[in-house]
Amino acid sequence: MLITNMELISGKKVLKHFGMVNGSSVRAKHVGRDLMAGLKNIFGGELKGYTELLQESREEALERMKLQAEAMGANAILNVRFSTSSVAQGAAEIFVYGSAVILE
Amino acid sequence: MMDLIIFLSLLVLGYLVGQWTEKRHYRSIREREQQLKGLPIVTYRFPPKNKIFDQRLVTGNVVISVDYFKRFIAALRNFFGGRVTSYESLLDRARREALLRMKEQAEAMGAAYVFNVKYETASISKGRKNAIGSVEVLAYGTAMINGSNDA
Amino acid sequence: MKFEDSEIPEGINVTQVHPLKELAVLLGGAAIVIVLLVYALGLSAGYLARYIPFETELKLASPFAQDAGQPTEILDYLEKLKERVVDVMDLPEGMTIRLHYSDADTVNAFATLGGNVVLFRGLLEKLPNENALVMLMAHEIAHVKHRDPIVSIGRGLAVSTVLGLVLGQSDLDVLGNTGLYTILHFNREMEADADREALEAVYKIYGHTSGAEDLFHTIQTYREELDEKEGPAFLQTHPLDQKRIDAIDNYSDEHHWAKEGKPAPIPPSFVEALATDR
Repeated sequence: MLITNMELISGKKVLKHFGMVNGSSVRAKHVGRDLMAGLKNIFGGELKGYTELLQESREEALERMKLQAEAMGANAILNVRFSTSSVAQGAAEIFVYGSAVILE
Repeated sequence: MMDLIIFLSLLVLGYLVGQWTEKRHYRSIREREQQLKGLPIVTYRFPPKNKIFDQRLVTGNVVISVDYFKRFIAALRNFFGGRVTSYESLLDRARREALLRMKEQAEAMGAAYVFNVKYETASISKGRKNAIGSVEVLAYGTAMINGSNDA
Repeated sequence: MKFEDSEIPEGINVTQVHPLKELAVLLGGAAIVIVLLVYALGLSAGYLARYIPFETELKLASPFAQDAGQPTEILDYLEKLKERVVDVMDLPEGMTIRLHYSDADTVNAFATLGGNVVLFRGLLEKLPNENALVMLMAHEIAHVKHRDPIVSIGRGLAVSTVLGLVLGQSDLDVLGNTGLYTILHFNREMEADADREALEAVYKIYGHTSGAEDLFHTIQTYREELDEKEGPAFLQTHPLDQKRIDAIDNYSDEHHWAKEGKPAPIPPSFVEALATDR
């Protein structure tokens, strides 16, 4: 499944459009990461725990978007965009959306 | 003891009313999605060639609130980590509803497509202790209304 | 543009899980974690608290040490009893007991930091014989001997600090109650140990254990008068009354102590002094 944030692929033509597909993932960190983040707030530096959390979330969101596209019979997702929002204390939502197509 | 009783009643109330509202909302969403299936929405930025369209901004937004039950489950999740399933359905509902409202607006204008659709999510009214109060989703795009047909 | 109508299947972005099942699993897990955490904290805090020397307790409790002053009939008698009890109880070096008498109606008695023991008139006037009074006094002195006051405070501090850190940030405050039940378990253990130590003191003074259980009978009767149900065992700070009576009964049997004997009466002058002290 080709995933890209461009809408024109060099050398390929779009045969069919299916419309929008999206994937989202809402994850919370556990108390361990929370305490570490609290400490880092005093000392500064990269919050590795959170970085990992968001990375996993992003991968899951992409996976879900792929599932939706596959269910439609598409083989590529164009013009993909990401959106992150904090929805609750300690939980972030990663949302990814794009347009599903069949590329030749 | 009183605290516990209040807490339990809020929890039960939140669960019953929340689940019922959610099911009802999903039914309405699915119905309208079926009706508006014919209007394509895409994230492309460039309009299709060979046709002239009348382009107008269309938007749809909705604010949905969290119930006590969902909030409690999310707090427990915060303890252990992992997927906050109670919020997944909340956001899914809000997104689909916002998109439907945008589509309805485009349909009313007689649009053929909606291009360059984007989403914005924001959490509104962080209640006590920084817990989420409600979430707002905005969906916006450009409706391509059939103008003069060239070529 | 060639468009095809498409439907997105449900259940991809929303995990299909029954909310009640998820609640049960998460709640159960959280409760177990908290109970284990509080148990471990309680054990270690208790162990460490015992290392605080008794002299520090005295400093902490010094504002309390001001005595009521005048030697009265009541204080005289209580002090004499106290001496007899302390003689047989084998307290460690440097540990002294300071007795306080309060003329309040409260049916209670307690031991606190620095070896201070408070006896309330409300309970004293209900005791039927001297043996029960000695049992009461020895029980409180046993708490001091076991360092129970400082251990309780240490445990309470440790547990509330950690639970506050872990749970404080969210709606989970209500789960703090599960920690409370674990602390109550520790309390009941301390009470049972104090009961045993006190029974031994009664035996050493009188040569038999008769009359000791009258302390618990008195409390039982008082509860019945108030129509106060004790409630489930795991919610109590003390073991259930009947359990305490049975426990000291068994303890006597284990040590082959005589259970029959005539309990010594309380001197009438003391009873009178209590009655007029309202």
